[in-house]
Amino acid sequence: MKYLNPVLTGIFASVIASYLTFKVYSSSAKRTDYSMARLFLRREDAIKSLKMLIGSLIIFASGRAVSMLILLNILEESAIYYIRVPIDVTATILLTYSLVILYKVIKPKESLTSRLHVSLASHLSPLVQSP
Amino acid sequence: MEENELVDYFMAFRESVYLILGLQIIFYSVKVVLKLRNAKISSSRIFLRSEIFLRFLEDLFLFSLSCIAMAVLLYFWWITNHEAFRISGGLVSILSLTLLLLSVRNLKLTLEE
Repeated sequence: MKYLNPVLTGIFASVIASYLTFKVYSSSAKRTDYSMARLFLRREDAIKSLKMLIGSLIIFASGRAVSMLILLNILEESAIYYIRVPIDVTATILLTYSLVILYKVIKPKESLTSRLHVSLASHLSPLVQSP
Repeated sequence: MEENELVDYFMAFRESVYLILGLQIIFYSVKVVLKLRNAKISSSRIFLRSEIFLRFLEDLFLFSLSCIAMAVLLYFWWITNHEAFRISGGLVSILSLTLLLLSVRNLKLTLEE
């Protein structure tokens, strides 16, 4: 029980956010022109996700203000649990959701030819292996 | 007594840095949200300034990595109650807020006229 505490939520949330951010960054860095073109073409989704992302960052930054209020003794220390932790969880949920939308926009679509290659290979491989 | 004083000074320093960085982050974020109101212009600027947008994503990734380090250090502080973890966690949190500020600033630069 000693090892179970609210900070563990922070670790899991950060790992999920890092994974998604890495996916978005790596796919944009690999195919920059393609990703930017998709962002341009699906602008409604892209702008919506960026707005949500910025909203989550504002919530995250304002969560730090709660620490300041605790330091100035305006709020008691238990405010960490009933104000700051919900603020941080909300920020993480928004961040994760916005990154998922952004990744869906940027994600390269599987081309028809590559799908055809895969289905042909799966159909032909038993024939090739058979004597 | 001395250790407590050091911790209190550090806490005051950390919170002051939070305040300075946090206000800038909120300021830049509001500017970005205002710029994002026009979807056509914003998406064209993202397309044309892809290098700065990539830097925004890179800083965001580094920010999330530093958040993992911060959460792990805070967890260790929680279970061991060792002040070294609290101070290093505080320093890493300052680093993560700095990266967040850089990231938001890069997004603002992307959308700027």
